[in-house]
Amino acid sequence: MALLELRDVQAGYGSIQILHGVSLNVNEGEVVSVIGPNGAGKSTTFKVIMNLITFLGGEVVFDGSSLVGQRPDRVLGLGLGYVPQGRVVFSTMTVRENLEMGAYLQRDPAKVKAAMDYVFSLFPRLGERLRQLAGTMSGGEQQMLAMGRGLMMRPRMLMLDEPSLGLSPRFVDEVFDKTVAMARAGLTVMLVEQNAARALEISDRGYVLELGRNRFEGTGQALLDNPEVRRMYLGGQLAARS
Amino acid sequence: MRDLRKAFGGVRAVDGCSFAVPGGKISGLIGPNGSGKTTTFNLLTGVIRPDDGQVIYKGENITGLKPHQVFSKRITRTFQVTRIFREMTVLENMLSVTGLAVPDRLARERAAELIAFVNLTHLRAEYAGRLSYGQQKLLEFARALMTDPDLILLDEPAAGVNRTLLQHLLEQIHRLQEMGKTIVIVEHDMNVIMNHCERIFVMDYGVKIAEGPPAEIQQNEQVLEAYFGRRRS
Repeated sequence: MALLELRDVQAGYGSIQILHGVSLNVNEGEVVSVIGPNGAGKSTTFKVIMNLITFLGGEVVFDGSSLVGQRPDRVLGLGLGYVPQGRVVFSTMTVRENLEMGAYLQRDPAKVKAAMDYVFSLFPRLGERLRQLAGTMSGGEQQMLAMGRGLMMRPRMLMLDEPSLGLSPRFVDEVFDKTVAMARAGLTVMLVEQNAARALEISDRGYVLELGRNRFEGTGQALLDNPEVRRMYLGGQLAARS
Repeated sequence: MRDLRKAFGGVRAVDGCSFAVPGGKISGLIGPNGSGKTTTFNLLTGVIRPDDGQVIYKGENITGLKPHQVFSKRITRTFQVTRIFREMTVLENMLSVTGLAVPDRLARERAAELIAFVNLTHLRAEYAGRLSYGQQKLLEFARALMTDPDLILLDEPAAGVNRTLLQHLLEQIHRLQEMGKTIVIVEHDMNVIMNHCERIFVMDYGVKIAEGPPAEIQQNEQVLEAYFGRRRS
């Protein structure tokens, strides 16, 4: 059974509808990418799963229970982590405080401590910078912090919205390496990326959305090999490896 | 740019940088996050004033001019984090830069053309704040072309933009260059930088560490170390 399943989901912002029937599923332990042109509804898909926007129809099921109408903190509590686009960190808080914010639902200090150790095992640099203000970190480090914070509730599944956005090549590599490392450690990952070729390379499966609807789906490799997908979404070529 | 300097508190964001941007060409400005690229753009466009140094444009000292004065020299830019008018429509954003209280037919036609070019026609009457991140970048790119600038500074045009659409943007950038425009691109996408820029400037810790054509930059050990974080064969 799928860990996360979306069936014919429709959603939007106020008067505009963005998703016109998106269906997808993510199985436990998988890395699944969602790609597509700008405005296809990729980020919106994450937001509807977290219940941050207006839900207009369909069904979202996580681990057997419906997420429709659930508050975002409840969704988080069910084991679904979310790292929004644009390395959103609390810039006037320290690294430690940012991580603690990620665990705000966790009342047991021992579990917060354990989660922090887990985050440091993946991102050792964060452990060395606990007192640094997040706003003074480089873009790449902020993205690592945002990902680390997303792990503080020890989610079963993590949703990453364009984690490589605006990062220099060495950090793009690091973001993808860390994503693979998290997946190997048993985390289920759903990824939205415009760096689509790189994303598909590390994905078990992928979905292509266009104008709020499903367009293609398949294994990461099958999508990379699909001439139409390459022409329409990957810039007609495989992105140059940096 | 001659020996530009700018410090924020104790952080020397740009620490004595000199560049000569070749006219009529596409140049790239690269460097690690936090190396001073965006600050450089802000110094060039009058968003912030340098502590020291000069900006010379076509022989004229434009150091310390206000942004609108720089803009009137036909210098335009886009921002890494877009500066669109969120509560204006896509079309209104486009027309906002013309300086015309009542935009003429020509301006409207140009706006419509550019909006179509970046695939936003179906959203032209939508509030810009409702566009996705990538679409806002595209709107800003289109808006930068509204006023027929001579020097165009693009801050991370590829970030968050679909790769196929990016190829179209790059074609448009080349067309602008063929028309005699000068373009400077800050970008982390090495496909964009290495395949489309004639000259590349590399910054690290607020200083220029290298300058040259792509083939040379790709072999520069200092650049590989600073930027890619590893040596490559």
